[in-house]
Amino acid sequence: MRTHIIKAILLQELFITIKSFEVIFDIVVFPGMSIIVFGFLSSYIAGSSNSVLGHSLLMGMILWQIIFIIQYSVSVGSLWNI
Amino acid sequence: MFITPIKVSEYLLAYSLSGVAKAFVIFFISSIAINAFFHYDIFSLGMIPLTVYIINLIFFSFSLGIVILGLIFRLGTRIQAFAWGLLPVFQPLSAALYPISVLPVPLQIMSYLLPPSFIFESARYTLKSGGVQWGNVEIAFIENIIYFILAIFFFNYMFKKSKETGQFARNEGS
Repeated sequence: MRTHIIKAILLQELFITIKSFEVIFDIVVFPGMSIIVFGFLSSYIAGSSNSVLGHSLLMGMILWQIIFIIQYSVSVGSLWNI
Repeated sequence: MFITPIKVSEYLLAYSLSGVAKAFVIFFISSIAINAFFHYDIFSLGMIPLTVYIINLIFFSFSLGIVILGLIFRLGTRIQAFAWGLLPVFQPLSAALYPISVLPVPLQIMSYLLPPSFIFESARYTLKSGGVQWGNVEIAFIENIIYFILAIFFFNYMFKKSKETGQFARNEGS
């Protein structure tokens, strides 16, 4: 493992991430919209039945975004180079 | 990129680190926004349970990401939609938003093959009662280790096959 090579790829990833609308939409806008939708849905559910159910929806969405973003980054990263 | 003297292990590690960094940034921003607008603090699960859950989810993401990456190297960009389109297939099975018990029995069996199912089950339990279902966490951890090892083998095999069949050279720009 050579750290300067890993740093170089990370730098490339940083530049692609902040300059690419595709990546910004995929990992910021879409997850953000999902969280807003589920936020209001959970507020509605919490108001009508119980708050634990509403909160479990929000918690599920936040944790799911972790899986999505990491898997997306690992898989899509290669597509910028091929 | 592979005309440079880069090792596959360095390539995978760098993209994994990049993914984790992005996920943490989005996670913290989302947590703050949800706390501010919807009055739910995910950190109320407790730092230890949350850390254990996130580590398990990270490893599952690595495994799935590496498998898809292997497929892309082997089959080319014609299956690039897998990179963002395959994960949603797993969402209904991983019981992120509802308990596994609401799924039909055949789907429950498939659900138990996915580590996130156990993590989400335990996370819901933590939310309700404050404890951690360590049995579920252990199963998820064991499944994650198995899948991670299998994913690495799968990727190496696909990478090798990609070179043997000439697909690697046809992946333009690589």
